[in-house]
Amino acid sequence: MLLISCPYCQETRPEIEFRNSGEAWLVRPRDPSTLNDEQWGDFLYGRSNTKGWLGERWRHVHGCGRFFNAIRHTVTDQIIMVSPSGTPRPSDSELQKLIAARESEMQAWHSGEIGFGGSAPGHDSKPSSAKTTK
Amino acid sequence: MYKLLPALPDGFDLNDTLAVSAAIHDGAKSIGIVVSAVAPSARMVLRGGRGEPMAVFKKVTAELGLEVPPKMLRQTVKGGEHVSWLGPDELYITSDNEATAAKMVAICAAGVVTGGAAVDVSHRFCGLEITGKRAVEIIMAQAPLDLTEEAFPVGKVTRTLFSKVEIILSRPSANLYRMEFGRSFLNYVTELCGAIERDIVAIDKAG
Ligand SMILES: [Zn+2]
Repeated sequence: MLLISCPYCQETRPEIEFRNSGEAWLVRPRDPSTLNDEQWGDFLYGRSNTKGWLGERWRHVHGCGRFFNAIRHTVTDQIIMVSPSGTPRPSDSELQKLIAARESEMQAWHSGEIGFGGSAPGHDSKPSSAKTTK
Repeated sequence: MYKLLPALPDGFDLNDTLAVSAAIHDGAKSIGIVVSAVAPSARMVLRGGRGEPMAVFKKVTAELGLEVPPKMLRQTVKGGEHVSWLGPDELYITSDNEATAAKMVAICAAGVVTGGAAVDVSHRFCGLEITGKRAVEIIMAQAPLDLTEEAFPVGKVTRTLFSKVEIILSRPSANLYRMEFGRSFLNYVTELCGAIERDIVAIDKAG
């Protein structure tokens, strides 16, 4: 089971309270009637089907009820960022920073620098408080 | 005078549905778990809209003589009246006071709350109270939440799940949990509570 942070509740909650709502940051064409069938079909059904970090919409359906954005790794299921609905997609460099930060956190966790006293990386709003030395 | 709906449907015997046997029910009571129906109440959902939800919250709660909780996922309690802040623009208000209930219904019936929306849901929700020093064990058995003192202190409220039922869970006082859920789930939730009581009593006996 995943633990997912809701940017509205500001709490980490079990996956069962949430619902995945597909890819995030899809731009609805401003004037659909000017599109040909292929372009409209692409907007409706064309998805990136990413293996790796993917921007997704999630809904805290059995909680505050809100939709929000999350960036999840489609293989490892790690979520490195959540943001309220309407927040723009982070830039590539921001994304790289988030990934690097998570990777070093994971390394510290695997090597035992961060203990089990707190939560696993990404599930603690203040991970430094959970740090213990071996 | 406004007449509150009965807390439970006609002919619904809570103890009958709850208790696997009278002995188990008494056993649960003796270890500090009592499941009971909440007082007959009126209930409404207030949405604050996209503009200034706080202004809408304040205006409506003031009309009802109630107070907006200090922050989201907190509840204010005044006797048998509860204001629960469930989402950025969502309040859930219950009242067992007939005068307040009449005002609530009037606000909802008027149809328009400037900047927001108010809907009377009295007819479709009901509530159970779990009291006693081990009340939390009933909730723990089926809710996926962290119910430790830090994560779920007195005054907290949230929508969550109890088994497969969506509930509004609150903790008005240290040994009192309150669940509100759709009326059609009443039998299911009550029988489930009975089954949990049975398990807790059995596990206790087995040591
Ligand atoms: Zn939420």
